[in-house]
Amino acid sequence: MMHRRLFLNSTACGFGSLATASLLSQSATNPRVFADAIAPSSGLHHRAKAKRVIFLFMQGGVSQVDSFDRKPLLDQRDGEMMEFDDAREFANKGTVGSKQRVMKSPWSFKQYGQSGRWVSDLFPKMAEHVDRMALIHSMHTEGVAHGPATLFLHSGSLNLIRPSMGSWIHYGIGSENDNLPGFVSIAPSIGNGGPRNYGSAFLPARHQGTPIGKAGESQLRIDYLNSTGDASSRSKLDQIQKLNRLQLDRRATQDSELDAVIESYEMAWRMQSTAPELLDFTTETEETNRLYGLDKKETESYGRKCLLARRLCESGVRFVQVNYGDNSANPAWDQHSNLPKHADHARAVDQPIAGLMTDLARRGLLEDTLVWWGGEFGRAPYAQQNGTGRDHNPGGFTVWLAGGGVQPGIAYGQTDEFGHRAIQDKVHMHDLHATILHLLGMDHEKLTFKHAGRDFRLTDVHGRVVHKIIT
Amino acid sequence: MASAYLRADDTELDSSDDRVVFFENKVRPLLVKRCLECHSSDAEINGGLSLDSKAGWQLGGDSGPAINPDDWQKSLLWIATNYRNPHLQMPPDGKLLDSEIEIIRTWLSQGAVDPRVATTVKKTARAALSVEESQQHWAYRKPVSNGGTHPTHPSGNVIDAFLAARQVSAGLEPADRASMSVLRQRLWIDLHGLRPDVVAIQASPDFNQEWDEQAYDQYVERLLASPRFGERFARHWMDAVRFAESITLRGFVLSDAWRYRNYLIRSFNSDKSIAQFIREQIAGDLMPSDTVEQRTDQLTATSMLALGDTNLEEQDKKQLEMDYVDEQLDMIGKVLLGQTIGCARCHDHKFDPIPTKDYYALAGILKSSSALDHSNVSNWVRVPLPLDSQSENAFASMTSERADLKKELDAIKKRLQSSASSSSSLVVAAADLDGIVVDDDSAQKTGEWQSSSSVQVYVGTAYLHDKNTGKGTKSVSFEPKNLKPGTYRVRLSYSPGENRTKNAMVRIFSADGEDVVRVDQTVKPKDNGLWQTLGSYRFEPNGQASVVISNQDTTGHVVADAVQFLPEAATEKETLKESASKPVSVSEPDLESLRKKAARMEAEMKKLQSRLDKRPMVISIKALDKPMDLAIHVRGSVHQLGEVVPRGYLSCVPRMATTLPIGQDSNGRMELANWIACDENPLTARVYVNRVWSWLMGEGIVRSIDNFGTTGELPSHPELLDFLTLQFIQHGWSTKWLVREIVRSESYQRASRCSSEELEMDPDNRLFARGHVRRLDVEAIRDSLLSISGELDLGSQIDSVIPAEMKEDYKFSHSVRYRSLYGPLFRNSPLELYTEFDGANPSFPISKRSRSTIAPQALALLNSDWVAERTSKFAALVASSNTLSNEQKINDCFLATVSRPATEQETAWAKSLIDASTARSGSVDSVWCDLVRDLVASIDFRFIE
Repeated sequence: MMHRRLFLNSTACGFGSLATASLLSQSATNPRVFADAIAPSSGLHHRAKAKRVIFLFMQGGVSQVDSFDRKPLLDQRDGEMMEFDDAREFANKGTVGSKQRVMKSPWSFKQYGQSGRWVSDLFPKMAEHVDRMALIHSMHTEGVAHGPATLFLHSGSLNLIRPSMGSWIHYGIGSENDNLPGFVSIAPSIGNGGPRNYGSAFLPARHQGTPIGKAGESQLRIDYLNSTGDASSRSKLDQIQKLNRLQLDRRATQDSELDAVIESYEMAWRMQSTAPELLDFTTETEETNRLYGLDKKETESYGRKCLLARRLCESGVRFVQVNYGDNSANPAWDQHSNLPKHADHARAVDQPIAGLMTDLARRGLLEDTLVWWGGEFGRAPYAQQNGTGRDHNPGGFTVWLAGGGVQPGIAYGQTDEFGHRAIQDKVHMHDLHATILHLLGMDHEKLTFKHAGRDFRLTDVHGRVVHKIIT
Repeated sequence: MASAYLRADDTELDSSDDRVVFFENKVRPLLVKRCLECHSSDAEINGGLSLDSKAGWQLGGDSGPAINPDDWQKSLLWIATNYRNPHLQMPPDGKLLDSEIEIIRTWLSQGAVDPRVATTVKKTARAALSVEESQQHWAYRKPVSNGGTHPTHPSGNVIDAFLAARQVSAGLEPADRASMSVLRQRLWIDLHGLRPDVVAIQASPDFNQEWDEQAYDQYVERLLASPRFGERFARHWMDAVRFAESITLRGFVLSDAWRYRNYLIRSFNSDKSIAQFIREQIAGDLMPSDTVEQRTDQLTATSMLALGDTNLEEQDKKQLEMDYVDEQLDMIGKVLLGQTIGCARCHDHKFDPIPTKDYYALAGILKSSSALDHSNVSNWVRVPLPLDSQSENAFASMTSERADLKKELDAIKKRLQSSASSSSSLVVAAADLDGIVVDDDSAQKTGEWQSSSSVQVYVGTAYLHDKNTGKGTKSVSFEPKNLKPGTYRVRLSYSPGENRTKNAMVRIFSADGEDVVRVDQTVKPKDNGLWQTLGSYRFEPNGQASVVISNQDTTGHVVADAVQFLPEAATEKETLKESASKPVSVSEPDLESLRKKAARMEAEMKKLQSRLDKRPMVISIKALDKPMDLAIHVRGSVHQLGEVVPRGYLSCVPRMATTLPIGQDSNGRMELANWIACDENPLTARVYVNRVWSWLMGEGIVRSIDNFGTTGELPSHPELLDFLTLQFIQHGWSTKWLVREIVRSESYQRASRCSSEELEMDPDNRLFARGHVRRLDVEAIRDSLLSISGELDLGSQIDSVIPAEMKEDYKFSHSVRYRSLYGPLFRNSPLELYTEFDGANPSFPISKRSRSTIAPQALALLNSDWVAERTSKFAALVASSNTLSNEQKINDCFLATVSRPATEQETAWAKSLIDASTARSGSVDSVWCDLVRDLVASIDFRFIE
C-alpha cells in the first residue's frame, strides 16, 4: 500500500511547542485517526528529513542575474553586442548563436549573513535569511514558453497530462490531518495550465490539490465550505444521517461504498468545523501581522497567503503552494520589457517571505518544513530584442530551498560568467523533484503508479537526488 | 566506411607514439573522471554508449557512433561536450573545463587514437514479446465461433447460459430478478442517463407490479427509440475520446467542437454501424460521399483526432507535432484497439509485442496529415462544411460582392486621403506614412468615443477622444492588417493639449506578450510633433498584434488618433515625410458626401463579413500533399533520429486478407481506418462490445477496458465475449442490437442484494451473479436535479451553447439548462459539481471514471448554491399545493428524488421533520426545502440498487 494516513501526535514529533492545539486536538479526538496512526517520521522508503513542503511559486520567471546570481561581468560588458545561444531561437529554428546586447542589472548587490552570499537590492528582507538557504544557481528546465514550463515544473511533463507534484506527494505519504485536504494551492492562477498544475491526472481524485482562493481575488476560501459548523448545521446533518441509515438498513446488504457515504458527511462536518478557524486570522498578534506585512498595502495580499501557509503547515497539510502570479498569458515576473517592474513584484513578496521564514524558524517549524522558492524558469542576461526587458531562460536560473534537511547557508552550482546557462553541478527540474521527494522520505524511482499498462513516476525516467545540498 | 574507422585497434601502435602517450596521460584520466561513471560496461551503459574501449565508441549508443574520426567535428562526443545543442549535453551535470575540452579537441583532431581493447561490448537488452509469441495472446487471435453452437439456459438467453457455467462451478446461486421499480430506474439511468421522471412513473403503474416480459421489452424499445439514448451513449463516447470545447493553456475556445458532439448523438440515435462510425472518425475527410449530410458527418467525425488538450504555445514545433501525434495514437490505441501503443514511443514495448518500429509506422500515417498551423501560438485547423448548392452559391456571391465593395471603397479612401494631404490643415494622410498605419476610423472602439478634428496635428480625417467620461470603460484597439513578421517600432499619434490626460494607458500586445506604456498627452509627441514612440516589439505570423488605448485610471481627455508599425530596418532614416509639416489647401465641399459614402460602404462590408463568418466550419485535420514515412525517434527524442520505417500497422495483429498495403503516395489514414474497423481485426469489435457491456453491467468482461494487451486483464468469460462479438459483427455492428441483447438477459436484471457469504465468494462480482449498484454520474445528478426543478430543457436539436465572440473559457459562469453533455464543456471552467463527483478528465481518454466517495461531495450537496436553487424550486412547487395532504406531498418528494414511494419509516422520519419545523416557526412551508435537500443528499438518490 502506497497510501498511508499519518497522524501527528504532538508529543511524538516535537510539536508540543506549537500553538496548534485546537486544530490538532480535533483530529486527536477522532478514534479513526488514532487507529491509522503509524510512526510519523519513518518516511515511505527511508527516513524523512522534512514532513511537509511550502512552495513559494514566483510565476512568470524571476531574473536570476538581478536577484541571487551576481555576475560582475554584466556591468563590465554592458551594452556590448555578443553572441548567445538563445533558447527560444533554438526551439523555433533549431539554430543557436545570435547577437544580443548584454544588459547589466539595474540593482546593486550586497553581501549578507555569515555566509556572505550576494543578494540584490530587490530582496533586502529575504536576504537576511541567506544563512538558512541553499541557493541552487545551476537550475535548468524544459519549456521555453510559460505554459509548457509551468506544467513541467508542476508535473515533470511538458505536453502530456501528468499528476502534479503535490498529488504525487500526497499519494505517497498522505496527510497529517484527516480534517483537511493534504495538498493545498493558495490563490492559483487559471492560466498556464490552471487546474492541471494541482490536478491528480490519473492518480485517484482524492490526491488532487484543493485551491484556496484564486489569483486576482483577495478572498481566501474553499469551494462549498461556507457553513460555520454551528449547532443548527449539526442538527441538519444528523437529520440527513438518520435518513441515510434508514436507507442503508433497507438495502439489507453489505456495501462499504454506502458506509463511506455516511462517513463522508462526518468528514465534511469535521472540515466545516476546522477550516473556518484556520482561515480566521484574528487570533494572530499585531506583531505577527506586521511580520508578514499585513499592515502595508503592497505586501498585504501575499502576506495573508504566506500566513495562511504557516497555519496550514501547523495543521498538518502536506504540500502548500503559495502562488504569486496572475491569470494573464504573461504573468507577474514576466518582464519582456521594462525590467524595472521586477521591483514592484519584489516589494510585494519580500517582506511576506522574510516574515514567513522568521515565523517558521521561531516556531520550530523550519526544522521539518521544506521551503522552496522559485519560478518556472529564469531570464536571459541580455536585453530582449535590444529593448528594456529580458526573455525567458530555461537554461540557467536560481531557486532556493531552506528548512527540513537542507544544508543552510550554501550555494550550489554555477551558471556561466554571464549567468546565462548552468554549467557546473547542473540541477535539472527532474533532479529538484527527485531531491524534494527524497527529503520527504521517498525514492523517486519507487514512487510509481500503474496506468495505461505501465508504471509512471514524477521524474519519468530521469532525475537524480542532489545529495550535496542535503544535511 | 573510411579506413580510419575500420582500423581494428590501436594496440599495434608503439607505446611511445606521441598520440598514445597523449591518450594515456591526458585522455584516459579525463574519460575515467568525467565519463565512465555512466558510460562503461563495468557500471552503467547509459544511452547504450560505453566509452571504456575503442570498440565501445565505435559501436556507439542509441544515437550512433560517438566519434567520427573522418570528420571529427561532427562527432557526437564533440557536439555533446561543447554544450551547443540543448538536447545533447555531456556531462549532464556541468560542462567540462575549457582545458578539458582542449584535450578532447586534440585527441579527436589527431585521429582519436585509443589503444584500449574491449573486454565486453554489449548493448542494453531488449525485452519484448516476439511476433510469434504474440499470436498466442488471446486478444490477437480471432474470436472463436465454436461452429455456432452455444450453451442454453432456461431463460432462453445466451448471455445467461454463458454466465451460468462458471456460477454453477463456483457454487454461486444467482440473485433473483430485481423489482420492476428498480429495473425501471436502471433502464433510465443506463439508457438515458436520467432518473425516471415522475410522469413516467405514474404513467405506467403496471410496471410497478409483477414481472411482465412483454411490458419490459416494450419499455426497452421505447427508451431505445428516444433521442435521450443517443445523448447518453454519446456522453460515454465523449469520455473515451477526451471531448472538450476548449484548451487548458490560454483557455482557447473550440467553438466548432459541438458539431462533433451532435454527430455522436446522431450516430447513436440512428444506430449507425460502429465500423462506419470508426472509419468516419479516423478518415472521414478521405471518404467518398453522395450527399451533403453524409459529407458533413464525415468531416465532422474527424474532429475526434483534433480535440486533444494541446500545448499550442510549445516553441519547439517539431516536439509539438510529435506530441500531437502521440496523443492521437494513445487515444486510437486505447479507445479502438485496447492497446497501450504510447509505451513504444521511446523503446520497444516492455511487455506487449509492439516494437518502436510499429509506433513510428502508425505515427507516419498520422504525421501525413496536418492538424496545426504553426505560429508562436499554433492554431488548430478549421475546414468549411459542405452546403446545399443554393447556400453554396449564396456564399460565393457574397464573397465576390465583398471583393467588389472593397475595391471601390479602397479607391474612395485613396481619394479622401489624397485630398486630405493636399488640404491646408495640419493633417497627415495615413497612406503617406511609412510602415503600416492604423487610423482611428479602422480601429475597434469600446465605449463611446467622440470624433474630432479641432486640434492638429493628426493622421487621416479626424481623431477620437473619450469626452473625459466613463473612465475605465472605454478603449480603442488598433490592429494592423497583414503585418509581416518581424520587429517594429510602434508609435502613437495623438493631438496634444492642456486638457489631455497625463497618463493615457497604452497596452501593446506582441509576440512577447503584453506591455503597458503610459503616455502624457499634454505634451507634444517627440517625433516631429506627430509620433510618440512606444517601443520596439516583435510580431509573428498569426500571433497577437494590437495596440489598445484605454482611459483606465486617467484624468483628462484621452485621445486616440493612429498607431504606426514601422519596420525596425526603416527606423534609421527619417520616417515622417515632408507632408506632415507642410500646410496645404482646405477640403472641398463634396468631400463630406464622399466621406459619408465611405462610411455607408464600410458598414455594408461589415454586415457582409459577419454573414460570411456564419459559414459553418468544423475542426478537422488536413491530408498533406506529400505523405511521409517517419524515422524512429531514438528514446522518443525529436532531435535524435534513427532508421526510417514505412507506414503500416501493428505487426502483432495477424495479417488480414482485407488489409491493403499503404502506397507511397497514399495518405494512409483511409487504409488505417479500414484496417481498424474491419470484421477480421481481432481487437476492434471485441473492444467495443466489451465497452458497451461495461456501460450496462458495471464492469467489462475484460476489466481493463482500454488494455487488451498482456498487462491487461484476461476476459472472465472469453467464450461469451467472442460469441457476442461475432453476433455483433453479423448484426452490422449495431449498438442497439447489442444493448437489447444485454438488457433482456436475466443477468442484467438481477437484484444487487446478496448474502455476506456470497459477497465473500465473489467480492468483485466477476461472475455477474448479482446486479451491480449503479451510482449516478455527475451528469445524471445534474440533469436529474434540473429535471426535478422543472428547468430541464430537452430541446429538439441543441447546437452551440457557447456565447458568440467568446474566445477564452476562464471563469465562465454556466447558466444553460440543457443536459450536461451540452456543456459547454470547458477545460478551465468545469460545470458545477463536475470536479467533486468524478466527472471525466477531459484531457484524457477515459474508459472508466473513477468512483470516489469523499467529503467534498457531501459539502457540495449541503452547501452548493446551484443545488440549493434546484431543490428549493421543486420544494416551492410542493409547498404551494393546497389540495395535497402532507403525506401525499412527502410521497411526491420521494418519487421525484428516489423514484419510489416513501417507506413507512421514511414517512415517519419526514413527519418528525415537519413537526419539529412547525413547532419552531408555526409554518411548514420552509421545511419542504430541507426535506428535498436531505433526499438529494441521501444514499438512494445517488445509488440505484
